[in-house]
Amino acid sequence: MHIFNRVKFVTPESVELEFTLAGIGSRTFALLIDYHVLALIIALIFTIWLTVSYQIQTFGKQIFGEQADNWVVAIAFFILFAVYAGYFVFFETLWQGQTPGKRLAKIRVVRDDGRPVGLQQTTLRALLRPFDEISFIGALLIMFNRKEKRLGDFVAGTIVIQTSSIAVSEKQKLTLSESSNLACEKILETTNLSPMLPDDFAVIREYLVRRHIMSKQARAALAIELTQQVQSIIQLNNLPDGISPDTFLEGIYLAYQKTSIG
Amino acid sequence: MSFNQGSSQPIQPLSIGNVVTAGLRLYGVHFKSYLKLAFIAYAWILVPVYGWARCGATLALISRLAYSELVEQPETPSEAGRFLRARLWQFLLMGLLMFLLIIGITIGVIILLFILALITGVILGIFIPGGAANDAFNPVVALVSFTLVLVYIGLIFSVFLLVQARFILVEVPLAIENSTDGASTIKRSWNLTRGNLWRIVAIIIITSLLTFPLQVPLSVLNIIIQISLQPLARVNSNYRLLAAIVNILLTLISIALVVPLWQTIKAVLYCDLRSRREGFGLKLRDRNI
Repeated sequence: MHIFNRVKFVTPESVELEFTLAGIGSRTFALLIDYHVLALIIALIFTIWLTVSYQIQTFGKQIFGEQADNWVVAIAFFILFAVYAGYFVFFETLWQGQTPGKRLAKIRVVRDDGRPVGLQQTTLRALLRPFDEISFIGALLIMFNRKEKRLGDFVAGTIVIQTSSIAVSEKQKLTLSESSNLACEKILETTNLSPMLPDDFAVIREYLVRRHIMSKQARAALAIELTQQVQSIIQLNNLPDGISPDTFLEGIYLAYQKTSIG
Repeated sequence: MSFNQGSSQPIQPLSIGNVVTAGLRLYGVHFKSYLKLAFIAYAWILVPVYGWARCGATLALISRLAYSELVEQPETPSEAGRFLRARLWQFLLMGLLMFLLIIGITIGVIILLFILALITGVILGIFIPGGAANDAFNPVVALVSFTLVLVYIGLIFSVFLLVQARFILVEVPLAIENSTDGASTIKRSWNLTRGNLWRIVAIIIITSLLTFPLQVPLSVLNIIIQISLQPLARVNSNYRLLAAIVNILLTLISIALVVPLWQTIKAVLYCDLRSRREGFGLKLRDRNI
């Protein structure tokens, strides 16, 4: 069973690309953010409108007479709709299928064949957005069809994909302690790292990157566990003197980098 | 399962949206069996004390089953149910402790609000003597009172979110981990959720938004029935009883429909938080294979 729906593209050079579809959760999250941004923009425009509309009204009275009020209201609604639809068209066209919310949720709109969206697609999506949101038609469609398309996606021929599946590693930087170099030298002198596979180093790297957000006890326990696993792989009975499991893992990681480069 | 892509890759922490998507997908795949458990759980509510423990345990069972799918060691409901029935009373203890905790927090907040009002009153009394006696509208007093109301709303709202988010997982460790009891599971939820408050708040908001479309048809049906029964109830009061029963029944059904979603999302969140806070799944490859 796959938790996340996937989609495959084949480029003209017959290179196969696989992407994970955005999923209803990320799309709702993106919409939540976008609507907050949009609300701010509309609030700003409304404040400006309050001052401008008075002048339009007095000017309009000279032309349309008593009908002027209706015209002012009509213009206001027109501007409101233009901002609402324009927000999505503007950002999705400019940022290649992303809006501020989609950026935060790490998702992107692309065409069915994987190419970036253009003005045509983004406009169709934006125009059909109100229909998707009436009685949650869009949300239900995304939940219940395999390609996760809402009405706008069907008409425009687009899908929404995830730009990155990694949630933590990007934000956290890999920082090593000062004693790690010493540990690395000791490890290089005394041990043979060749039984270690690249996958093992990937796990150690993952630990080093993520350890700062772990709870203290769990981090200490995990360091000991991983160290023991490394020890059994490289058949090292005792840790070098004065080196904690945490620094040992840093040393192993550095040593791997040095051996793989050299 | 792509949560754990291939055996060599460790379980990765998930993004906010993906926690919700994964929960929804798990519910979708096991829709019938989870929904059945939810109905069983709510049927148990009718039995006092023992039934309440059973209700808590049955809801937690959904989380345990979803978790077993996530770590790719699927269990059957009867297997997992046996584990949970063995610690049935711990669920009641947990419920009782949470009840006391929430009452305690509520009283604490009320006292805090009272003290804040008192302080503001004293300050106003010192700086604007006779402000209360003066019947005329005093802008400073009005402004300060307005600010106080805003502070109240902010305070109540943030305490509410804090409690919701930090205690969201209380029943999950009790249903999954071997060495927990009704008290330690609450502490476990508090520790696991540390530093993830806003992520969890976002997950709660998104999930609440998504439960709307699932509940709307039932709410509409309920409203239609209530309106059509109203003229009948005026003639014969027995219809009023019928309307009330239909109302309770439909409300229960609509809660039972979304409760498994919350339970599966809690299971995914539990995995995600353990992966973040404890490096759950980080393990070097087994050499023996």
